[in-house]
Amino acid sequence: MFAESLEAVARGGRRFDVCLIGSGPAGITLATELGARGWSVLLLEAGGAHVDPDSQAMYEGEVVGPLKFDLDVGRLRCFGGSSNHWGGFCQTLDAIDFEDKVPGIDTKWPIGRSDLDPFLARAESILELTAHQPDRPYGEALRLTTMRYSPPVNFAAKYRPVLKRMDQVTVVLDACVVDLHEDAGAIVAVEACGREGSRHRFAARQFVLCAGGIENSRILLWANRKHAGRIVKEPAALGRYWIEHPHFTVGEALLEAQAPMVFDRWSIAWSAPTAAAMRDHGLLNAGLRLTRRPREAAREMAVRLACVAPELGQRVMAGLNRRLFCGALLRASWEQAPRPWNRVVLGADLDRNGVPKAELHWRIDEVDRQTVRGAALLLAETLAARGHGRVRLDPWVLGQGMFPADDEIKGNHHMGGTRMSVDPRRGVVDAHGLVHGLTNLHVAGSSVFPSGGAVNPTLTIVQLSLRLADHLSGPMRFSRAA
Amino acid sequence: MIGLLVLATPGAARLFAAEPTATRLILRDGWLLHRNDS
Repeated sequence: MFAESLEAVARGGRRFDVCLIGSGPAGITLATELGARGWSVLLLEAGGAHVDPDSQAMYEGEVVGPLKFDLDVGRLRCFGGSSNHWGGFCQTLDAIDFEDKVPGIDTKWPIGRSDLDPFLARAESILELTAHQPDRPYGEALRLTTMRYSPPVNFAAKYRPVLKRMDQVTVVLDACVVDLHEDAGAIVAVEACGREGSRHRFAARQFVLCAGGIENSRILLWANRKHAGRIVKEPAALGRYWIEHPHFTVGEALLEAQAPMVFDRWSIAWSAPTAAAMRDHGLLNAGLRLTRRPREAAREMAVRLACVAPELGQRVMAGLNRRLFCGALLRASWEQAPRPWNRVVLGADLDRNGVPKAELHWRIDEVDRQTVRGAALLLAETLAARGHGRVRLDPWVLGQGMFPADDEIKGNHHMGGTRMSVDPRRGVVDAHGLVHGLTNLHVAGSSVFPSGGAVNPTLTIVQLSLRLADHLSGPMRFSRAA
Repeated sequence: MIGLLVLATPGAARLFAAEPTATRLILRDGWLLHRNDS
């Protein structure tokens, strides 16, 4: 059910089985799963039913670093969260994504892919995904991958009627969590602020932060500051190891008709390095996307090729007329090295609730350039070795100049900040998402990713949320009605 | 799904030569070419 107001729920003075903070894919998945198991669920959403500028303004924040983007654009503060503008791209993380790949770069998760596999079928059903196609090898170093597409599922549209019917679930909109109250190692209540400024406390046995890849860190940083470090007792990793998937155009390719790439509904042919190639070449994971271009654009590519290899360029131009070739833009989105200096911090400006706005310190570095350069060269080499095409790489990829600031830069995949680790000095939550040092505060969503692989995070977010629902409902099954 | 294979002409001549030896590849103005691409 949807509550009439924050005040109405507060007046009831009820203690819920679980309080979920945030109604994106993680929060709504947990709400429906736990509600269906008979839990009393309080789902607090900071925004309203739909996107509105005043609410979005609460997400404003500065990016400190050479590449800028707007923190209030890539995420949505309303019921359904960022699923309201999600594109629907889905892939599972690779098994190697849970491991260390490059010496000195901490990409290891405290769980493996086999821990998430049992939740794949349910996640696929929630996201209504197209069929899975196994990767196909392409040479020794590459594999041709397939993107899976959600319609895309908008969690607000799909689950609003479901949650309306669930008496066990109470959804409260315009309920912004501004504080966490702790006693003896447990969270006893959250404090939420209504749109008009009224503040109320809500008690529950369990609490789960599902507020997103920036807000999860921000809420914990603020609560920790207010309560002198009693929320995250070992804060060394809090807000840190924040990662994105850098998104850049890296070059172009002329492909023969015999090349085995298959262009999908978005005219994209996907490929990635193999696990062995990542280890052999010291690369993190990378998604390479060849986006098919119109014939005129391909002709311009052939002209550029003719400038360095005139005879070959002429042959390609002739082949274009006979449809023996096509041209493609080569783009990449790849795994960023998790670094402690890439982090969410509390800025100097306050939002209307008096909470410091987020400030994001973020830069990509030479390890990140090494990953994209290495992956792109593997594709170029494989195409050339097999006679399937030729690739031109942009100068910055080859080390000449900086990352271009006018490119796409990022994928709006906000990960890290409250990363998983068995070691409280290196992570904020344990392998189940429980905040180290507390007994009943979990974190869900991509902020718990210790590393991000090279795939869009939503499918993994839903898998992790289903896993957390199962985990919570195990030991709680007997104490829920106490 | 639109595949490049759909566009293949049976028996079409290969215009890009295969060159399985990576050491014979060369970067020229950003293009990764065979050494004998001219």
